[in-house]
Amino acid sequence: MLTTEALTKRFPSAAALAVDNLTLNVAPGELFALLGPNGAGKTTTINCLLGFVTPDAGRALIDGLDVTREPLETKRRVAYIPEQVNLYGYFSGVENLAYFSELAGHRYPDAGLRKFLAVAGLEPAAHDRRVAGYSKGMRQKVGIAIALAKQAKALLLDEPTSGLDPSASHEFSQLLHQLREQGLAILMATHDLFRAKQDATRVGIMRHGRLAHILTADELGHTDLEKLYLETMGN
Amino acid sequence: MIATIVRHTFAELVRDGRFRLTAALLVVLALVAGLAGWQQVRALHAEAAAAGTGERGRWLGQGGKNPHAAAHYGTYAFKAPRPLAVVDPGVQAYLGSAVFLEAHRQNEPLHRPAQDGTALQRFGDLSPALVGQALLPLLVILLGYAAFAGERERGTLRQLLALGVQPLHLLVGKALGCIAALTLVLVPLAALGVAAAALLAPPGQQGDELLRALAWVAVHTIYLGAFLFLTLAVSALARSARTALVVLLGFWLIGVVALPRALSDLGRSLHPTPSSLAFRNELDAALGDPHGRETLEAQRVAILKQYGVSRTQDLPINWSGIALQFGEERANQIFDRFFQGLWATLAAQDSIFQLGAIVSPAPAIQLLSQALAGNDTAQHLNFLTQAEQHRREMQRTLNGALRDSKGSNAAFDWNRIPPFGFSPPPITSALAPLLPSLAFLIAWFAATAVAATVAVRRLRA
Repeated sequence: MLTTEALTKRFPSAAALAVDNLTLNVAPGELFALLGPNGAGKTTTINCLLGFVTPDAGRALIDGLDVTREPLETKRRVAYIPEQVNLYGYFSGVENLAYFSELAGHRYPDAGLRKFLAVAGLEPAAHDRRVAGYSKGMRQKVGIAIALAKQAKALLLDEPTSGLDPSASHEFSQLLHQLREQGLAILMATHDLFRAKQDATRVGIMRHGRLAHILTADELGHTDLEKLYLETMGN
Repeated sequence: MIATIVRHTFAELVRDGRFRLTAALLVVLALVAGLAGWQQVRALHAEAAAAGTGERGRWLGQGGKNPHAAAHYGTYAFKAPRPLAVVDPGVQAYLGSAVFLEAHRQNEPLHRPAQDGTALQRFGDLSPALVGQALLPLLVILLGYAAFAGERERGTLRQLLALGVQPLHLLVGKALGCIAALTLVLVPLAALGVAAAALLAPPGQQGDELLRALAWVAVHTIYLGAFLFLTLAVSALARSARTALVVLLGFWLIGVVALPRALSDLGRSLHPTPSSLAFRNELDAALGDPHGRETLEAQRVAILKQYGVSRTQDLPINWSGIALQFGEERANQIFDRFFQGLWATLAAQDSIFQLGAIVSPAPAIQLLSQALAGNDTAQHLNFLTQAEQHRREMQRTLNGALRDSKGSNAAFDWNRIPPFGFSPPPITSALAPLLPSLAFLIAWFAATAVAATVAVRRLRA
């Protein structure tokens, strides 16, 4: 569902490759967690899949469609939650969700919108307040609701739980489990080794634009992920 | 999709206190200026009407008098203010609204309030036109400069594009949303113009004045549309909202504030008009040319021969009527040469001004606005032409009466000289010399719309 084929990208200002010959496939029902330090190429990979970055070589595909050739069609099939969800301050949580949903092609009744917000964990009292007064965690929850409301086949998450408190983070992890059960393909860039181990069906450790290790669910069960991560970075 | 973006953009602007405050301020400013203009137009109307009636009474009450004495006694031609002076007084204050019509002379207009003004006044009195042409573009810039650049900085643009929103839809939606917000400001201004045309126009001219008011609203809408697309294009291209704002304010300062002043000065230095005194002195020198005496003498000999007499007092007609009319016609040729030369210089200054529309749409809208309001130089000169026509007609009638008065004691019927009434040219002939301005304005609109379309096509999150 989410595929990269020998994806390569070098930014003009940088000496090293940002993404180096990366081949990856996330199937429906799978959650692939990308681990790695800042600058390892996680976000660039996601940007290639969103069409924000054009690869120098290789391809990024969503549902079999080339992202560079069909930028609009591929974007319609994937929902995206950035590290920092940005919203329109003059509008309430419900209004923000309604706007993003309508632009994604879905028009929901008011009750439907509130349900998405509730599922994302935003308390009802906050639904009608202007988001200018929201905390980072609350914005993140609206971002999750926006992704849910898009009803996409695939999900791209770039550090989605940063700024969430542990219990909200736990709720989010349960939500991801449900979505995976529903058959979504999920690619999540994260620094959170604990959550990666808990939630992912596969974990990849990225370094210098390459996947240094890929661990399956079985392997994850009996691996000290933190030790492996630190060893990989030490090389 | 587009409707959603329109509603969102409009709601966001209306919820923004800065927009509400600025918009309200501009509406109040325009309405105050407009209502002051309204009072002034009515006062000038009353003045012109009273002066016209008084003048007519004075003329008719002259009693038994030599027609040529009456020609020297003279009369005034008044120009009633045009209704749309409420929105754009144009050159009204600079070019005068009354001319003294007398024997032997084509006079320059009188009653020019700007003569009493200071140099600062050259920047223009506050009028709805000034608000529409100088301040509303500023409002357009303020409501549009962050449209793309601001969303890019806040990160929302990235999220919108990640949804699969087409940049062109975003452009159309944002443009229409801004237009909807601007309409809140434009409607009171438009209503003022239309009301002035409907309520202040003299009978018979309402149709033309209403057409002018609607065209005035239309050209201002195109003008502000050009500014909106320019703003959106710059916002889409600029790295940051701050850069977009600086670029746009710079364009406003140069194109709207400085350029029209510079163009006026350039026009004056390329096509200088003589000072009033120099003009009058040269004209007097030309009129005093002794050459005229010889041709008059030849005319006298021809008339004596025609009637077969040897002395003018033996003629069956009054020679002085013929001589005076002869002098008038000779002088008229000189007046035509001098005044048409002067007016051609003014027209040349206007064409320099018109060419400035290559740099900014502001000169084009200023000329169009003045012309539609009936207060541009061309239509003012049309008043002077009509007044001069009236003067010549009047002299011909009076001199003819003098010529035929030999041996008759009947008093001249002063009613034979009709009262002067200015009939303004219709909108079509007012606009005819400004077709280049109209073309420039439409070209600006089209070019900025294309620029915005191209700019959003390369829109990057």
